[in-house]
Amino acid sequence: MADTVEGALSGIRVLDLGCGITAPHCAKMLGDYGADVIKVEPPQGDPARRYGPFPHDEPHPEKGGLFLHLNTNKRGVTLDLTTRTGASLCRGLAAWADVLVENHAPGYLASLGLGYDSLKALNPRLVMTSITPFGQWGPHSGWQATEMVAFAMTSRLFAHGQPDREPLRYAPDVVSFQAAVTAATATLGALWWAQDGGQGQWVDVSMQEAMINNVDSRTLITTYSGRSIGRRDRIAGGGYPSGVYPCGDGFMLFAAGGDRFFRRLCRAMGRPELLQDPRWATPDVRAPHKDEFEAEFLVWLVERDRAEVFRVCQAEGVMCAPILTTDEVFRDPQLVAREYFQQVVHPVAGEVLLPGPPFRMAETPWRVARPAPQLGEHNLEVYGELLGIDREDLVRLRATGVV
Amino acid sequence: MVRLPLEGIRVIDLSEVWAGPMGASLLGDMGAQVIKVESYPRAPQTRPPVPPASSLGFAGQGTDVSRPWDRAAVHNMANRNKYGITLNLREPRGKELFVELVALSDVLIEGYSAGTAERLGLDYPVLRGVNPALVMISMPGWGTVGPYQGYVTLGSGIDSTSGHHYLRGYPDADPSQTMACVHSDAVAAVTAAYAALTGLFYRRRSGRGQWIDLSQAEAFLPHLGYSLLDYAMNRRGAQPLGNHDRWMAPHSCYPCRGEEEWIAICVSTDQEWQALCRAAGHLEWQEDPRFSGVDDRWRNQDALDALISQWTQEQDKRELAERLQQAGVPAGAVLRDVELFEDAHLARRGAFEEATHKVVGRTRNPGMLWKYSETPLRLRLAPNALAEHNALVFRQLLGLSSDQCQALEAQGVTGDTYAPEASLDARDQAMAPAVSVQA
Repeated sequence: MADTVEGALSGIRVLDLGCGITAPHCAKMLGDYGADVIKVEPPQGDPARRYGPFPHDEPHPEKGGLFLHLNTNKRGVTLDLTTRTGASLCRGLAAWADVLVENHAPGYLASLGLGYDSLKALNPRLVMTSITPFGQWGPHSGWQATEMVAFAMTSRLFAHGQPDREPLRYAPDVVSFQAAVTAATATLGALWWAQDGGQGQWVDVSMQEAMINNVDSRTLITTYSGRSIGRRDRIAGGGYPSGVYPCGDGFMLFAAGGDRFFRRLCRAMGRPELLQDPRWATPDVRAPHKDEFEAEFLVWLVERDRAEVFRVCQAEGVMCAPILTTDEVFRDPQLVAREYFQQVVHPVAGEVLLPGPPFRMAETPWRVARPAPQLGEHNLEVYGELLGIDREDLVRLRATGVV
Repeated sequence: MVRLPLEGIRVIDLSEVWAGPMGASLLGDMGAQVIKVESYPRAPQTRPPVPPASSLGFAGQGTDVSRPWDRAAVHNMANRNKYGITLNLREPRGKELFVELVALSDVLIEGYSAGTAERLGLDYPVLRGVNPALVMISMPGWGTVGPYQGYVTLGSGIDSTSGHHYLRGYPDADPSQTMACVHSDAVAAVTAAYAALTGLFYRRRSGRGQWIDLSQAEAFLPHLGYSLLDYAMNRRGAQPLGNHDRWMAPHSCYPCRGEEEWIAICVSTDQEWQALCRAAGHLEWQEDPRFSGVDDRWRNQDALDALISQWTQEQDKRELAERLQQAGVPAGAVLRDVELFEDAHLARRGAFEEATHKVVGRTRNPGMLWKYSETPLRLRLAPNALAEHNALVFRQLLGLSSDQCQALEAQGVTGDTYAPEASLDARDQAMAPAVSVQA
C-alpha cells in the first residue's frame, strides 16, 4: 500500500471480524499505530454503521460517526461467513493474519468451522482474540448481555450513584471501549510471545473480568475490611474540600482533602490567615468546622469562573479540575494547544473531526492513514492480492451473496 | 513451566496511586520483571505512614497495625507481580542507582506531573544517554506539554475534563450530585501497558527506544466517541442518559425484593420484548400500543420503567436474572463486591486469586484481566511490602555489597520505614486519593 510512514506496529497483519464497538476498537488501536488491518463485514454491513450519530440526523451507512471513529486505518471487505464459500475465504484471510479479533457469541465462529482450533491448525502462529461479556467458558458464558448488563455484574454499577437513589451506569460505551483496549494489550502480549519463538494462542477477554480486576479497589477493600461496602460508605478520610462545588459558570471537582492541600487552597484563595484561625490551624480541629469553611470557600468560588479557579488553584498545586460538557471539551485549552482532535476526510461523509491519539510516540506517529472503509470498498484489492481471486470470480461471489 | 510472554523484559515503575502502578502490574502479569521504585523518605499518597482514621480497606489484624503503609487496600490492589524498592531520588546517590537501574531496563513508566522528572534530572534526554533502547512512558494527567503542564490531578479530574463526569450523572440532577469516579485510571492503566508494548515492538524491529507522551485525558476521550462526534457533526451537546440508552428500551436498573437489590434489564429487539412480557406473565404489555415497537417503547420508557419496577420489586434479583436469561432477555443482577466472591461463574474462571502479602498475610486478591490459552497468567508475586526487595535488587541486580547496602540506609538513600510525618496528610489523606470522593 501507499502508506510508507512507519508505525510502531508496521508489518503486523490483523483480521477484524468484529462488529459494534469492542473488537473493532481493539483492531483500530492496532491499526492506528501502524498495523495492516482488514475488516470483514457481513454483506449488510457492521451494525455499527446504523448507530450514528449522523450529520443532520440523516441516517446513512457511510456516515455513522461511531463507525467512522472505530474503523480508521482499515481496509474493508464484505463476506458472508455463514456460507461455505464465505467461511473458506475467511480461512484464507486467517492464514494471512498474525492477529484475528472478534466479538461474536462464544461458539458462533466454531459453528462455522472458524473456531480457534481449526484456525490454529491452519496458522499455528495466529493470535486470536475473542471479546465477550463473560468470557468463552463458565456458567454465564452463554448469557446475553448489553454493556449495562455486564457492568451490573462487575459491582461497579452498585457502587456508582447517590446512596439514596438507584445505582447509575457510567456513560454509554465506556465499558465496551475499556474491554477493547484491554484486549488490544492482551493481543500484543500474545503476539510478542508468538514472535519471540512461541506460538499463537487464544486470548479470552471477558468484559466483566477486565472491569472487576482493573483499578478501583473495592473488592480488596471488602476483603481487608471483612464486610461489604455500599454507596453510603465514605471511604475517603475527613479532609476537605473534596467533592463537586459550584463556580460562577459551572462546576468544579476538588480532590484536595488533606492538610497539604488545605494549606495550598488557603493560599490559592489569597486567605493564608485562615491557617492561623484556631478552627483550621491544625488538621485535628478542622472536621467540626467544615461548614464554616465551605461558606467562605463557596463565596470565593461563585465569584469566579472555572478557568480562573483552575488556574489559581493549580498554581498552588491544589488537585481540582473543571467539569466540562462535551462542547466545552472541544474548547479545552489543553486539547486545543495539543491539537488533539483530528480532521479526517471521508469520501462520502466529508470532513469528520475524530478523537486523536491516546498516546504520542516520539518516533512512530499515530495517524489516520485512511478513513473508515466504505462497505466492501477493498473487496477486489484484498481478495485479489491476498487470495488470488480475480474480477470474474468476484462477480460470481457477489451474485451468490457471499461478498 | 511455560515461559510467559514478557519474560526477559525489565520494567521500572516510577509512578504512584493507580494508573501507572496498574499499568506496570499488567506488564508484570504478562511476565515482565517489574521493579517499583518507591519514594523515600516521603510516603506516596496511597501508603499511610500512620493508621488512617477510617479502618475501611485497612488490613489491621486484631490490634496489629504495624507497618501501616503496607496495609492499605487502595495501594495493594494496584501493585502486584512486581518487586519493590525504596530510593530517595533527591539524593545524588539515589539518582545514580536509579540511572543504573534504567540502564539495565527496557521500559520506564513515570507518572508524575509534567516537569517533575526534568527537575529531578531524570527526564528522557538524560536517560536515553544511558540507555538508547529505553521505551519511556511519561503519563501525567493532561500530557507532558501544554497549558496544563505541571497541573496535578487524580483520576477524578480526568473524568471531569473529559466530559465523563457530566455525562454519567442523573438526568434530573446537576453535576454536584454525581460522585467522583476513577474509571479513567483503569483506562490509563491498560493504555500505558499497551503503549509500552507498541514501543517494544518498534524497538525489536529498529533497535531504537523512544519516548511516549501519554495524556490520561487523551487516552480516555476516544471512549466517549459517540458524544464527541455528535457535537462535531451536529453541534449538539450530549446530556446524561442515566440508565437509559440511546435507542434501547426498556434499559435500566430496576428494584428487586430486599434492600438495595437491583436488576439490570436491557431490551433491544421486539423478540426480546415479547420474551420479557411472557417471562413477566404480563401479556397485556404486549397489547399495549405504547410499547408495540422499538420506537414506541423508547418514547414511553418512563411509563414502561414504572410497570417493570412494580413487577421486579417482588422478585429475587438472581432468580429473575436466571429466568430472563433462559427466556432470551439480556438481564443481570446488580452485584455487590461480596457477591462477586460467591459468584459461580467468576469462581469457576478463577477471577480472584489467593496470595500471601508479607505484612497483611494471606488474602484473596483481584486476579488477571484476561486469559491466555497457552501461557496462563496468574498472581505470582503478592503486592510488594515496602522495601521488600531492596536487598534483592541492590545486591543481585546492581551488584552492591551488604556493606554498601547498609551505607545507603545510613545515608538516607533508602529505608524500609516511613516516619509518622512522612506525609503531612497522613491523618486525613491516607485513603483519600484512590477512592471516590463522596460529598
